[in-house]
Amino acid sequence: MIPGRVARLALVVSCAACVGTIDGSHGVVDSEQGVGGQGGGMLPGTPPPAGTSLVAGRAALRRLTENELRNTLKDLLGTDPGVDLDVWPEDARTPFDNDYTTQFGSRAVVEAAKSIAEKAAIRLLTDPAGRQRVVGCAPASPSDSACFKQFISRFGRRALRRPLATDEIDRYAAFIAHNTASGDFYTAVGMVVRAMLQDVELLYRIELGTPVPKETNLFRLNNFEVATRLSYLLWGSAPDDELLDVAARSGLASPAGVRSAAARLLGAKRARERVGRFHSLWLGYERSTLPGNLDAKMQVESAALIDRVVFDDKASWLEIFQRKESYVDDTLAAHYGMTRPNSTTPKWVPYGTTGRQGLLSHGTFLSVAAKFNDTSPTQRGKMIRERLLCQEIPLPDPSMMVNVDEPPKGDAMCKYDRYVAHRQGGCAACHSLMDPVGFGLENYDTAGKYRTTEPNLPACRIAGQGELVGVGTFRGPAELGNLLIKGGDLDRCAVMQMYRFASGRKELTEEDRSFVDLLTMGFRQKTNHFDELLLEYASQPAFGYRVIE
Amino acid sequence: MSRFRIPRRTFLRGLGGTAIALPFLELMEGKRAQAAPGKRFFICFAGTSLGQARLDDFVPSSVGANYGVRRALAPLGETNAMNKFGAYSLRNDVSVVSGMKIPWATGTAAPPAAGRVANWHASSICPLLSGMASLTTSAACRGVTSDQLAAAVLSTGARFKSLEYRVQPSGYRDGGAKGVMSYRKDSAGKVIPNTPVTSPKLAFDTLFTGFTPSDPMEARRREALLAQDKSILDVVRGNADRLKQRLGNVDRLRLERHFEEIRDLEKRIATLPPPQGTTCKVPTDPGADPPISTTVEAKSAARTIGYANEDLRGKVIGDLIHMAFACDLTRVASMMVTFVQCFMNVEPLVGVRTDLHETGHFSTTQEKMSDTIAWQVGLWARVIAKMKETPEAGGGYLLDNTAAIMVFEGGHGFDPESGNAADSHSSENMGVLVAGRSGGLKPGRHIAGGNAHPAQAIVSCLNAVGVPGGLGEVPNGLPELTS
Repeated sequence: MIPGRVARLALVVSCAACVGTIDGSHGVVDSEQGVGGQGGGMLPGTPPPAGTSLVAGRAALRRLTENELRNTLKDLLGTDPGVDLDVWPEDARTPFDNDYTTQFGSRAVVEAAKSIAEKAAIRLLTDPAGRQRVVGCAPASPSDSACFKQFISRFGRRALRRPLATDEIDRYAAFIAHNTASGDFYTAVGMVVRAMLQDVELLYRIELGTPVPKETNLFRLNNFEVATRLSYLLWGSAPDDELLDVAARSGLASPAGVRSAAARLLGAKRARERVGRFHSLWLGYERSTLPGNLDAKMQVESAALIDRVVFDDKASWLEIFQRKESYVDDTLAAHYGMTRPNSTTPKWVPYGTTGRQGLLSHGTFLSVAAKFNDTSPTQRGKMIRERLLCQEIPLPDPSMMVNVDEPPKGDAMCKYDRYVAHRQGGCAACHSLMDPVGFGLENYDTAGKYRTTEPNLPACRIAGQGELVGVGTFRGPAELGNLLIKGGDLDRCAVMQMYRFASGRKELTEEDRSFVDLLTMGFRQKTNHFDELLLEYASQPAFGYRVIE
Repeated sequence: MSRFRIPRRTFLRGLGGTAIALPFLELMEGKRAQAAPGKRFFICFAGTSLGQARLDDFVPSSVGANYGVRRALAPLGETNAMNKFGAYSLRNDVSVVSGMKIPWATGTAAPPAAGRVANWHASSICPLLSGMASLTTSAACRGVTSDQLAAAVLSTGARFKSLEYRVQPSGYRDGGAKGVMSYRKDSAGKVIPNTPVTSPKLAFDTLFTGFTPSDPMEARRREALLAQDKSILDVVRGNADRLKQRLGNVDRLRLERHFEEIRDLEKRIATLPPPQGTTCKVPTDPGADPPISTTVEAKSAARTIGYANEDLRGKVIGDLIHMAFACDLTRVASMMVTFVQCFMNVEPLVGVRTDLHETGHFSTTQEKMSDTIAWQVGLWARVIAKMKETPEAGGGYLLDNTAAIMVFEGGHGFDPESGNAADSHSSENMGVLVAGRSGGLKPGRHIAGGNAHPAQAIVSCLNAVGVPGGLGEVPNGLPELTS
């Protein structure tokens, strides 16, 4: 439920956006004492400054995804949990893996967490160097409670993402009694690891906040909750010690503070992985349908392009669709029909006259939306409309349906002719939005290889002519990329998808859309720098608030 | 109306049976060893249709008793020369109902009661499993599923209210609701999925933690671990309780199930499991789960398919379900063999590198497709055969007090989406398998379903274990199953 005040503020935002006063509209938010643990949420929530651009997003308590849990455990314990996470229930893709509306509590989760925690503890305790690093002190005896409490406090802050109160530390400290029987200090250490790794506060991102007076359902997050939001947004993992230290100093109470913390996080390799993962989930190639040998190379190729545009060159994000070179080795270059770099490791190779350009030329992107044994112009067109332009294409009335993608069983009939039914009658209205987009990519097969005729139908020459209705005609990925940019909706859609990924929710409210518009204005003002978009998003006052869904 | 929700059948059985001398409350609390054996409910789902070019590999060659099994049901026979998926001699114990139908929406009209939208894949799931019409192609059920209705009646005092397992651990391409067959309501009345456990190892550990191993060294080690677990869960549950106090209503509702499962876990660790005996024996620890691996289809390098030794996983999970019943750890289990629109690689099973879904679309022969159905039927039949041979403490066999059913995603026939008359994307000619003799079920026949709704067979099974009423919008059972 959206409280009236917040909805009204959303309107203010829209107007502010229209007159271009987004920057500098952050009012000063009173700093808040960053206190975690039992006392953490007790201060009165600070209302947002009057007239500022606040649209606090609706948010439920989010469970860590498998990927986030893996990153979190890796950071906490220093080793990848590997197949131990196979017991974690598989995340649904909508297309993002973190849609909280698809997350449900279950015995499967609780028992999986117990199993993962047990295995993680065993792995830690059988690795003396790792154990030493995680525990942080050398116990004088199995009953060295000073060292044990020091470990609980240190490890607990990282695991639960906030400082532990004394009574909390004492509860874990009682585990040391088990050392009497075992004669081993690390028995109790293992128990702490097991307990914390299955704690609700580790598995879920708990956002208690403090209620904002006179507002319904609006909560101001504390510094540690903001730190958690920020690190899962930019790293897909828990805050590191440095970020927790910033939170402890109330350094995340102002948008400026969050911005500076976010800038540090964006400088780390993990931010690149996160942004790469966002794109691969968005465009559906995270679980590619490519054969393993090609898949690995193409995943590297796409990640390298995004890294280069967003982080190395700090160029406009739109250049992801415009770059005239790609990161390929000899095998991949041959596959694409490009000049070989004479290298078994990837190098940047110009596309030349191949008609390729940017991400739409990659096998990763082109492998998605196949049907039966070949490309599907309809599915490709649908994906481009829905994923890249954020348009909804309704399902057809079943009475109209004819499955034209299925290869002909008898005499060879070329695909374009088979699709004739889509261009007639009631079908045409929707299919004219999709099929012509896909037909413009028909020269590129489901692994991104160039072709001139249909598979097993040499008589069927591919025309390769496409159209983005209302914007223009094109041939191939280069021209399509240019048209998508020319159409003007691509960057807004990118912002909307980023917002979905960031907020863990596919369905957007009117307020969300206004907020996306606001962010889009900022994105365009900053010449579409994606890292700036993330900074801008994180340093909105709204980032520190939550509307309980 | 009774305020205590004691099913009438249970009450009558208590009065009429040998247990009359027991104190009434003790009987009703589920101190079941002395009383009439508890009823059990077992439902299994296979994500497949029943034919490719034709249907007749599934439908037995004759109606009535001693029906002749064809290729897709070969594991029910006494011998099986058709495929390698077992011969469990169950023709006298399993009824086959063929010719069932889930109705669909025509034109722009809403689907009929317990019907589906006309677009295929997943639209049959909600009506099949919850008896509620599907309004979209989402597999998510809009109503509570039969296993949860059964658990509400049968599971008083059981260590596990119900077990939810899925054999296929990954969707390989997509998943979500296509990998869920059990739904219940949260305390606010919203229908929510019961995410299944997919790891046989995790299932084993969960079911049999607390049982004493025969090896004394191992027993001591486990005892120490259990003592640690008690302390750990005490803290985890304590933290959860304190957190719960600080959450608002919405957040508390969201974490409700998680909190509940933590409490259940703590309770299980704190209480002794039922004693092992002649029929209840801890199965062998299955060890690490078989790895999950993916490849691409032979005919299309563009399609990822995967296999995780579902054959072995299915057998282990089946064994665990059987033993969970034998040890009375639970009275209700659901086993989802494969996903809706299943992308599991069937090559290790039938020798063709394609996925289960594509077998329905001519990626291999009709015979091979029937073999993949037989494989799934075999996993269910294996459990039924074990229940048939496992004696109850009070006489008879487990299967005598059980209603077990296997259902399938689709049938074969008209596809309103494509207009094809003989298509695997069809909810015509659906079929179910029913076993058990609880509550008047008379198994062992092939029944021509006459376009009855497949959920009617589920209703019959529910009624047979003492769960009154219908399932969603399906009010009645299928009289032929009990007459």
